[in-house]
Parts: sequence; C-alpha cells; structure tokens
Amino acid sequence: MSERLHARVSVGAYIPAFAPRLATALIGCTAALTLVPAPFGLFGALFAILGAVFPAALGAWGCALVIALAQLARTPSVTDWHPYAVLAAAHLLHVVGSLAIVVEPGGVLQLRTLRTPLLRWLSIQVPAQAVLSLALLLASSGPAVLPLPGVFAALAATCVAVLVVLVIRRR
Amino acid sequence: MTQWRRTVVPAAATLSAIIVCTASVMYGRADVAVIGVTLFVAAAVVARRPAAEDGVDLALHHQPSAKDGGDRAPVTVRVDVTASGNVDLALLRITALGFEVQQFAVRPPTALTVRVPVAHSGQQEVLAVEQRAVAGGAGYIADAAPPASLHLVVEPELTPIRFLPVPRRLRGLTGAHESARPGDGGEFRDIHPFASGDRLRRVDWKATARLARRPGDLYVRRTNATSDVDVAIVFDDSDDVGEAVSEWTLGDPTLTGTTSMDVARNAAWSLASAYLAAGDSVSFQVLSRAGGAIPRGSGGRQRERLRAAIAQTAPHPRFLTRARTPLVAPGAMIVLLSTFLDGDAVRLAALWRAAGHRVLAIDTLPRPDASTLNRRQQLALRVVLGRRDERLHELRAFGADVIAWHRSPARLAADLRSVSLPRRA
Repeated sequence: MSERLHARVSVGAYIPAFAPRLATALIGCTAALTLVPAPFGLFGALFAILGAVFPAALGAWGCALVIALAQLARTPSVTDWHPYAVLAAAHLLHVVGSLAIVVEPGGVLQLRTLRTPLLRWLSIQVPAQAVLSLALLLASSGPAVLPLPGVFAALAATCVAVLVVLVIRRR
Repeated sequence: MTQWRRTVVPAAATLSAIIVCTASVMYGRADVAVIGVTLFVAAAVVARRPAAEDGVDLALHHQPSAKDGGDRAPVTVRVDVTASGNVDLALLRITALGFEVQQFAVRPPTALTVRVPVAHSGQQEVLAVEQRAVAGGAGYIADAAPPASLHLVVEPELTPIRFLPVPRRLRGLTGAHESARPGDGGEFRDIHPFASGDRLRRVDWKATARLARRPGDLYVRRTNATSDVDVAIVFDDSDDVGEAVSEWTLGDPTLTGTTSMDVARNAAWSLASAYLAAGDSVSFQVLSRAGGAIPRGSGGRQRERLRAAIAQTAPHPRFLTRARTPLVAPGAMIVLLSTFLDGDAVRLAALWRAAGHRVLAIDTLPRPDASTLNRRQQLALRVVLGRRDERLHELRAFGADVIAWHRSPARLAADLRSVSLPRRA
C-alpha cells in the first residue's frame, strides 16, 4: 500500500540518458587537460562541465573551440599525435553535445541510438584525418612549399566536404 | 504532418567552425583549417531540414494474458515505434496509470514492452505515450505529437457469497427465497385442515388419522412458498478514496492502495451476481447522475449489462444534493454502497426505510492508513471518521443493516450471514 507500483519497460540494451552529458564532461575535460596548455586547459574543462550541466549553454562547443584553437600554439608535425586527437575530440564533443541537448537526463537511452551518430562521426573522421595528415605533411615541409596556407585550407575543406557529401549521399 | 523546429546545434557548430577557420586563415595554419572545416561539415550534416512528412508513428497493442488484470497481474502493452524519413531518434514520454512518467530515447524502428501493474478495477488509462522526433543529428526536433493511449476496463473481482439478505416480506411468485406465505417449493410450514384449493396429494394421512374428529375431516401438510426478490443496487460514486489517507487529495493510483470505488465495484458485482444466480431481479443506479442506470431484470443478459455498468463506474463529483430519491420497485431490497463521508446516502436511506424498504448499507471505505500523516492531519482524519461513525450509527438507528465490505472473507461471510438470518419485523 505504501510502496508505489511501477510500470516496467523493456527497451533492450540501454544506458542512462545522462550518459551524453557525462561523455561531454569526460571527453571535454580529458581533451582540454591533455591537449590544451595551461591555463587554457582549465577554461576548456570548465566549458565541458558547463556543457554537461547545462547543455543549452553550448559549453561543449566552447570546449571544442578552446581545444581547436589551442592547436595554433603547436608546431605542425605529421608525427605529432596531438592534431589528430584535437580533430577527433572537437568533432566528438559536437556529437555528444548535440545528443545532450535533446535527450532528457532523467530517462533511458537505447544503446542503438548511438549507432547513427557514431557512424556519422566515423564517416567524417576517416577522410578528415587523412586530409589532416596530408596538411600536416605539407605544412611541416616548410613555408617555401606552401606560401599560402589559407589557399591550402580551402583546398582541404573542399576535399573533406566532397568526401563527406559522397558518403552521406550513398547512405 | 510534423512540425519541425531547428535546435541550437547547427548554429553552434557553424559558429565554432567559422571561428576556427578564420583563425586558421589569420595564422596561416592548414591543420587548424582542417579542424574548422570538419566542424563545418558536421554542421552542414545536422542542418539538413527533414520533410514535413517525416516523423515517428506509435502503435499501442494490448497483449492479453490469462491472468490479465486479475489478482493485480500486470497488463502487458507493446509499443511499436516506426519512423519515416531522416529521423534519428524518438523521444518517448511514457505515462503509466496517469501518474508514473518515464522517459526514453529510442532509435526507430523498435518495439517496447511495458508491463503496467493494474491495481484498480474500472475504466482507466493504462498507458499514454507522447513522442517527439529528432532528425539530422539533433539539428531538428519535432513538436510533441498528441499522445497515443490505451484505455482498458478492468472488471471487478467476484467475492463468492453464500448468504443473501432478503426483505422481510417477499412479493414475488417464484424464486429461490423462502417466503412467509404458504405455497410450493419451501420448507414444511404446518398441518392444516383441508381447504378448497388444496391438492389431494398434500393430504397427510397419518395426521388425519390422529387429528380427525369427524368422518370427512382431512389434514394437509403445508409448505412455504418460494419467491424472488427485487434488489436495487444504489452506487454512491461521489468520491474515490484509498487506503493511503495522504493520497486522498491527489489520488495517485499507484500509491492509493485499494480504493473505495474498488471496494464498491467488488461489492456491487458480487452481490448482483449472487442475487441473479438466485433468480432475483436486480437494478443498478448511481447517485451522481441519472444516466447509466440499469432497470431491473434477471438472467444472463442482465448479468452482462450489470457487469459492464459496474465495471465502467467512475468517480463523479456531486455538486448538488440529488433532489429526487432514485426510483426503486415497491418492496425492493436496497443495497446502498457508499463511503458515508457525506450525509446524502444517509438521507436517502432514511427515506427508503420510511417507505418500508429493507436497506443494506455497504460501507465501502477501505481501512485508512494514517501512518504518513502529521499530527494536524491525523486530528482532521479523526474528525472526519468520527462524523462518519455518527452517520453509521444513524443508519443503524433507522433499522438499516450496515456491513463493512473491506474485511477478511471470513468476517464478511459472518456479517452477511448475520444479516441474512430471518428476524421478526
């Protein structure tokens, strides 16, 4: 009588719906503290926590911005793992931040809902990482090879965009 | 048609991409430009607006089982979630029994199985599912669609009844109850001198030999006639309060425990079934409204009519005191089901008693659980229950029989037996 009756819902494999928020905080803090030099890393971490607690405050994108801009402080090198991690983390923050905005934290998230965003992330990441390694290769070979980096950026952007559009259209 | 709204995601991603790309151009960094462009592509992907025809469809299917609804067995409902177009996610808000809300984010097409514990009888919304579709990687979200719901009528439990109270004077000509007048079918009544109309096969030759004074004197064995009963079940549907007194104001069905309407439905259905099985005529009326009354009748069809009417009885506020007493057949036995938390039922019982009806008042208030009340609330409850006790005393003073239904089966059977015993008028 005093105990509430509960409806039981079978939804298959699931995770708590606060997982995207938790992922925002974890990925953001980890990336900010490892990829961004102090004290800017702390700002990134704060943005990540803000994005986890209040996703509508767009803290995930703030953190992604801090991580991406921190790459400016590094010398481009094709053998350095940091740029690749920055690219993956910034994009991943966008993915989990998007999920955190639409999913209420008090519920349940079916595990298979993560499949489409992760596949989409992967389909963008694979060509983007390839273009990034090419860009790093060309950039690390010296200014004489590439006098106009902005032109190269536009070229790289076009390549990535074409690849992604092709992949998405096929799906 | 789905009404889509753009979320803040495309704008946030685009703004981030523009800032990163601008910085990369300013500092001449191709690697940073690639990061910015990647963010820009991600923003372009989520900015694809879905078509108005795209959306999520829900279908609720009740999966009946042998024990469905009975003995508080849960009701199983399958929720089929299908989507059309570029829908990534369906946000479901599942409300069970009108109170318990659970939220789910699922990827269509999928099927959810919901087991809802049904604690009460009667008509109820077992499940309501509200959905919002999310498309384009959370770039667009649809407005909440009208909820899909599943309504069920849970039939009341049937308590077997062995002893049925009957009016002191039976007026019917056939039936299963023994009346006070001589006739066929009943128990031995007396030895009586033969009179015109008596059948010869009723002549008791031993009694004649022993009692006859003159030649031609004959004595017959007389038996009681059997008769049927007109029963009017009057259902006070003004309030529905449960065992948990703290829930009397909110009425959360998942917390109330057994409610007065559950008890009343159970009592009404059990008594109606028992009287119909005995061949009696039963009518049914609710106090709050004139509609929904079942005129008196007997047999299998009447049983089905009564079952449907009793199961669909729902609490209905009675703002004004009913002006007219519900019409009942002359000499009918009145079964009045009420919590007696207000005085209307007592007033009606007094009128019926004054008209010579036998009134069986069934107290449908479940045992109150006041354990979660504070001192002030407990004091208020004592006042309410005290006034109710006064009404029950008043009923007994009128000559009405009062039975509390929410008791152990043995105690209930004993109470019914005590009011079923023949007594002097």
